[in-house]
Amino acid sequence: MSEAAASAGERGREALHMLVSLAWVLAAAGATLGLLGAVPRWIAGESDEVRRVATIDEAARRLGVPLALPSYFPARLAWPPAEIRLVAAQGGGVALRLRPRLGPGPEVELLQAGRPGSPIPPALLGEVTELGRSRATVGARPAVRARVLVDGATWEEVRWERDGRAMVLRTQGEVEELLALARSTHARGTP
Amino acid sequence: MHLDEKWADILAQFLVHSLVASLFVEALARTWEVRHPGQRMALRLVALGYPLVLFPALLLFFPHRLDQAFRDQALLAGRTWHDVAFFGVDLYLAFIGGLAGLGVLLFAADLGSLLSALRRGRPEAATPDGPTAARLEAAIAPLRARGAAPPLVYLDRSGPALFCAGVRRPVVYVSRGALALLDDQELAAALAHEAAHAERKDPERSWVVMGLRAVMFLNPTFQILARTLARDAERLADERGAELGADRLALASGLIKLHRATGGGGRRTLVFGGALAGPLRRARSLDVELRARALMTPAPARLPFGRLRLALAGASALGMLYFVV
Repeated sequence: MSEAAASAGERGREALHMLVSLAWVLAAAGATLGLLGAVPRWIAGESDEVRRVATIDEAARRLGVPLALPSYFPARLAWPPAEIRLVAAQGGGVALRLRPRLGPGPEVELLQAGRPGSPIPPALLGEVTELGRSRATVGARPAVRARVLVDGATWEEVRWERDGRAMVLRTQGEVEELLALARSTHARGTP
Repeated sequence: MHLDEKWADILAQFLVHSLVASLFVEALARTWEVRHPGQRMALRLVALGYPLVLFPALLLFFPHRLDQAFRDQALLAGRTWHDVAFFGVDLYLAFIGGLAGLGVLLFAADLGSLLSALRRGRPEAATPDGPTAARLEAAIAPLRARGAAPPLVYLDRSGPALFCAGVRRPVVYVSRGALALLDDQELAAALAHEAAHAERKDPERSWVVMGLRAVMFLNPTFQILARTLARDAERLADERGAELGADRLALASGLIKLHRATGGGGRRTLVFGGALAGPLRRARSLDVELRARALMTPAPARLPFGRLRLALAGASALGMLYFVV
């Protein structure tokens, strides 16, 4: 074999070594990054802790379902929600706290279960004492209207199911506004 | 997405991308068995250039990477680590804060050394006596014959000092202490090493790198890479010095003598400098040992496809990190 041919063979082997090594390092790095990306879901995916998330989209992504949101939205309330709390475990649930746009005033809270048939996590509902209840409807669906004491504060509350998912809407303001909000709640979207 | 969330995501990506890019390049350098210091340095420059050039380009040309839809499909979405708490601490925020804090610390440590050197000012030149001047002339004559002799400045100090400094016009400083310590062959080899620094304008480069470090003060990977590049520059100067005629063993021997005589070098610049002094001295000793070992073996060969390797390293890192948000 000539010297030139031997040199070309050597270069070919070197090129192959270079490309195979690159593929190996790339695959190992990609696998490591993928693993690092999956670990949080393994660790925290079933957490029953209440977490605060920044956006509706993030809450929906973590629960893996679109959130039900009201399409009627009183001008006095600010959007997006002032606080979004989430529990991921066992179907999970989310609570959206709506505060007045300007200054102090009655707040509204919308709570919903993550899956049909699952209850809203008690950690989101808080310490509830029912002071009185009556039957009601939300659209054509049966509902319960109640006056409740939640962590020492009195709220008007309506409870119903939407597509099998438990929903609770609470207000410290007017009941008419509460029922209008409940009736307008739909699968996904912003008011 | 809120603005502060967006900036937190960008900062997290900036820190994680730099770290992954540098680890990726180091892994490539090892699997490719890159031994030539110039080639190692070039590969590390790819990692150093990543946060400066490639990461901003990624943000500029692919803004949809910050969208939730993209994040859901990403290889690694850093924000999912928000879900993991350790003793009540959000690991995502702890990671960003920890890395940024480390970056500031590393930059501050070297800035302290630099400011302290600047405060000391330019060393005062002295006129060597006849025999000393003759000895210096004999040591630099081989370099002069090759047209690679840098200007020499003699320092009348008992402490051993032999270094290259000067941004526009690099000058090699030699102290009386260094002349007393080194034999003629070691002195010629050490001058060849410093001539290599002067030839590459390393003092100017180190100022440019320090300026970039100031811009990247939050990025610990950048700070560590910059330090590693400074070590690479020393190894490159060793090899170039050998090419300029320095005897490899004499250079290794001179290096060890100077290192031993300066006690590992380094001044304390931080309040906790005392705690770090030991590990830093050991790290410097290890580096000198590795340089001496490298000088005791034949000069490392350059691998073929040098530029292609750099392009592949940069493109692969960018391609992979595109999916890390």
